[in-house]
Amino acid sequence: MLHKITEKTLRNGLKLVYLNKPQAPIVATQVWYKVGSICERDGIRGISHVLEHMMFRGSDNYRSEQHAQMINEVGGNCNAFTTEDVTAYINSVPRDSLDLVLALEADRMDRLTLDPDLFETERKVIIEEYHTYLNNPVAKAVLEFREEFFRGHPYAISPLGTLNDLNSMTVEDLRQYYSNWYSPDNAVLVIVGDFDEDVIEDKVERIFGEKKQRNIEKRQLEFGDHLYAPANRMVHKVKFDVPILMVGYPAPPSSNKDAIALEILQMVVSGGESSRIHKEIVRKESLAVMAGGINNLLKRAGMSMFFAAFTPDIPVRKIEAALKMQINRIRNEGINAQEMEKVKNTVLTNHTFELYSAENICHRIGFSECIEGNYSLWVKRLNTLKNIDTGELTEIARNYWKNESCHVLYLKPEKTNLFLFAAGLFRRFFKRAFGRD
Amino acid sequence: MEQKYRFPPVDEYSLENGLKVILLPDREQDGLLITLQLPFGKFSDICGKEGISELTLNLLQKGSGKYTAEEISDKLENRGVSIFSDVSEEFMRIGIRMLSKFVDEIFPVFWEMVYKPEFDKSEYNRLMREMVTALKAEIVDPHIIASHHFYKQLAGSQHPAGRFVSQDTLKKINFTDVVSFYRESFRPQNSTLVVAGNFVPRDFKNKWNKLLLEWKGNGRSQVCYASSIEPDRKAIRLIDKPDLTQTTIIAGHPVLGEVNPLRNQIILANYILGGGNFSSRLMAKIRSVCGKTYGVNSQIISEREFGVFRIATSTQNNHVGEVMAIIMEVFQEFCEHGIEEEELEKAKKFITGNMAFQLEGISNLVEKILWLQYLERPYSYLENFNELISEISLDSVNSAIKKTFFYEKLTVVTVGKRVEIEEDLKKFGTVKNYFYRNKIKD
Repeated sequence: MLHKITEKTLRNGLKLVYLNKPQAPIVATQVWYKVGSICERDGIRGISHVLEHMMFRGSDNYRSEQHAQMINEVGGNCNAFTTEDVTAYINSVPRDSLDLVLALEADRMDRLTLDPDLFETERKVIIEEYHTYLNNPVAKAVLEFREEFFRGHPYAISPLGTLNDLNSMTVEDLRQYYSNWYSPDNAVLVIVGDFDEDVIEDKVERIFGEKKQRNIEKRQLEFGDHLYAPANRMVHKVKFDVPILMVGYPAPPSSNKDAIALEILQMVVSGGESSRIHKEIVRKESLAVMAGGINNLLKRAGMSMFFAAFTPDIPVRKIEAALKMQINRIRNEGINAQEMEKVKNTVLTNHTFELYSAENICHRIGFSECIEGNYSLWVKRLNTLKNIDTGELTEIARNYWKNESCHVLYLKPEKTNLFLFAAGLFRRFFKRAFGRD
Repeated sequence: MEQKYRFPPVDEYSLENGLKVILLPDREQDGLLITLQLPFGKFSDICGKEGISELTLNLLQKGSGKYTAEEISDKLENRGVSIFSDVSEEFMRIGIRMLSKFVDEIFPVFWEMVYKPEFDKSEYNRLMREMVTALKAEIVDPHIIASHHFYKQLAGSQHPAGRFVSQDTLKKINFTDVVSFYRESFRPQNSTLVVAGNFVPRDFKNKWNKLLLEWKGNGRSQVCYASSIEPDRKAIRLIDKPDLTQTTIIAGHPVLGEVNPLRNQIILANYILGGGNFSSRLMAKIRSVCGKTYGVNSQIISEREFGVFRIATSTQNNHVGEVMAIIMEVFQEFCEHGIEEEELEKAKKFITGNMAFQLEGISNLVEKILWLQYLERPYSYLENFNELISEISLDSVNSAIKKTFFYEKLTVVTVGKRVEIEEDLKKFGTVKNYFYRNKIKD
């Protein structure tokens, strides 16, 4: 099916990527702008996300919130999200309403109202959203961890921005930012679903073709090779009863050829109950209660993160040593054929199930095109995987997962429940003495 | 004219052990989804031992006649198979998602977990630790705290909705309880197995019906459908969590569940009140106009007979009084004056148009099949659904609002920093104070 994906770039630079998928009478449409928190400077941290909110607050031909309401009126749903690298707008509607979506998206591409009063109201909404994160001690600690991990790089500050900047930014800041970044040549329009392939290019040309490119010269972002901050060890006391240890290693940008290798390695170390850290740290040694990991591969840099949740009676140094031992095993021994087979099957299964949903396909195309560099990387992913030399993986693990560049965050419960502590010690003594859990 | 949908053909039969099998071939992709639904859920937990159904269901995955827990995870994950399980209020599900080419190898492993589990004490201990840790982790989530208090306040400990798993209830469960619970409750009668994806039904029957019959067990499972509750106003619960800068608010009352003959009218009405995101009155007022929240919604959560209507939002502590006042004002207006024709038309368009999404892909189709099974409804219910919705009149919705929603009987629960919100809350009724770490009482 994916070989039928077609692309066309309009004269104004807007890239259209589409795929006809007629199995259900619906169509998913997403517009991905290549602007995210990485494009921000001090004083306007969080502005990409603010602008995402304001994109629903009216344009020349539609009043505030009318976009969402019109999509709902046809039975559809819409949303948006902002990351470090992109801002994306998502619409899924019954097939007869594709024209409506395209008209709505085209209007807000260059005709956003940015009304000062509505901005003041939306600023309050965003600050409420900010507080939702602040009120979760784990989410808050993770934000602080990444700030330290990416110190010196624009990724250090999350797309939420800072409270100071959210309070001080002006409508004029928004207008300038919108004018710099929301331009057809900085956007990708993805359409997947049940629509007439024969007319789609003409239709998009008719609706978006007259949009003018804007302020290209102001969009130059220059980053040197990112030098990661020196490895750091942080202890955060949190109002939370479960001790958690996180370790983070530098990882390549998602467009780098090593990214897929890191994905494989991460799956072997922490993917599911057959993973190494689950088998060794949770099951065999009974040190952690839960353990896992995630690769946060962004456009210009990345982080491989592993974590373990444990009981207060286990010394944190044991957890850290156990996690690092599994990383070192990968560095020294690589992975075996069975593990590689597992990764291939898992990726193929995930891929197969993604293809049932027009919205998921749309998302994968947008992500791959805007973050990894080209949507065909996603399409060819399975082939790339098949051709990976497992011997090379060891070398790649050694290059990225170095002990000296490992950042550590320990989320330490503010108070230790003495009863639980004693119960944990007793359990461990019992296990050692009688050889059972 | 609303679009009419046709449910794809299924092959459906019952085996001698009482198990219902539904086969849905779908060649769109090479995936296969196998889901078993058992006709009981959390509401059937033994009183005082809440969590036993979840524990038992999870323990099925940790060893069977032929395989240890580790062998099961190796066998499944090496083939890219993921296993899922979920315990709802009145039913539970366990299933696998896989590439269809592995069915001959994987299906027997899955089915053996269901009919021949090998309950292992050390696996039980490990799972118990995991569940206790997950419960401890929940303590930071104000929405979970608020939700538990809401159901406790609304239903009380005598009703299954007012009881839920906690560290205390887990402590009361022992290994023997779990083994007995499996023997007494996990039975093929009234259970449904749905197989959907790229396979040939005839081959499936020939190969696996015999194995499916290995699941023995006479009689029906102990099924508990919770009864409905009469709404009754109670004091406002304030759960103090001193580190919060934002307060979570839940307000609502019981409603009749899926058996309600006015259910479709209620769904349309709720869409306008708070179910319709940016098309709803609550979102328009509290977020779009006042900017006092990131999100607010109202939901109708329905089991067969028991149901709940609830509004949920969060706002900074210094806005609690204002947001509560808006909720009360909007809800009172809704209860007293109902909705307008234009609003109803928009709600109908959303609900009928949205049906197209609910039948996309095998996961959605399986979800719908199992939902219909639980409610004992025919497939034609979905096929005729849009017609039913389109025929609903404004008068019938407004009459249903009067019979269903009661402004003066809202149960209100808030989780926030007491010293900053208590005075504001007192304007709306008597406030009873709790502390977030303490045991949740009636």
